[in-house]
Amino acid sequence: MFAIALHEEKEILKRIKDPASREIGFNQLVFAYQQRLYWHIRKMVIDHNDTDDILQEVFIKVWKNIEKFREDSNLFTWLYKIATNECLNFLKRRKDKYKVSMEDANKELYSKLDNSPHISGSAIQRKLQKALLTLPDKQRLVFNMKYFDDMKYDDISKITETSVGSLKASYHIAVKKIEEYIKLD
Amino acid sequence: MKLEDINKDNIFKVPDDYFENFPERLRERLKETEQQKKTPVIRLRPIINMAAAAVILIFAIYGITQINDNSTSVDQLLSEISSEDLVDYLVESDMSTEEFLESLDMSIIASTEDPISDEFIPSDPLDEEEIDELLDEYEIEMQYL
Repeated sequence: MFAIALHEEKEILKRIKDPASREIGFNQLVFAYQQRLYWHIRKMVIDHNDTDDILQEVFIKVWKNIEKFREDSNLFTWLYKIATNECLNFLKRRKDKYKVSMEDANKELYSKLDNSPHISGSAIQRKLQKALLTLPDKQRLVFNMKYFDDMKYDDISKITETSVGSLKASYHIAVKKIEEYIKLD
Repeated sequence: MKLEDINKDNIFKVPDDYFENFPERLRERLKETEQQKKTPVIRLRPIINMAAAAVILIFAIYGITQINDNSTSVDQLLSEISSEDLVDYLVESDMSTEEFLESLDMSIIASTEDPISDEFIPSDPLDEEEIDELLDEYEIEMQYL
């Protein structure tokens, strides 16, 4: 799951900790991780503009809190955790704002999946994305990390602070629900 | 159809040059955030809190004044009632002087500058003659007492 080699990650952190090279180090961090984080967020919120906003917020939080980052933990796990929290908060705010059920909130996203110029794929690929929207946000998150990003349960466990056993159960249930949905006409 | 039969390729796309331009846009955004931090911003929350406290204080003072006004108005009301009327009331209601005094709100009595109680509870016990004079004055017959 590591986007860059560990020694490179350490080098970036060293630069960020030094006020003289802080900006250069931070730019390297952005270049190194922006795509992985973008796709992680995009799969959760679907819309490109929302993803762009959230990604900026994630890096602003990273910039402000990098001093608090403990070097014994993994930088990518930390970044993923911030991005995950931002995504879940965004989805919760959206539901609260419109005071609608998950089904209603997703209608707009279904339409985007079919009509957005920034979304392609076959009909069955889009149907898979629609099936994912029927899952609770956290279950969808776990599914995305396991299925699309091929992440290890141990790493997902660190990011979501959930036991591996619960994650396996959650993934298994998600697959069953998705397959049921795909069978529907 | 099973899940593994579906192509896993990413179906989402980004506008051209999005990732090339993102770091620069982020730098601009960070600069704005830093400038906002440096610019003294009038923080609304403390002002709102102060305003709320002021409003509560005004209402509290107003409320206290009203309470005082109320007790004054009770005092005034009582002072406006003639002693004759009070005695008539006592006679009609078949209430003894003691009962009447007990029924009075002691806090009102305590707060009044011109205690009505003095009129009914003389500091010195009345002698027989004074009682007769009072009874004559108010034309109260002994049977009512």
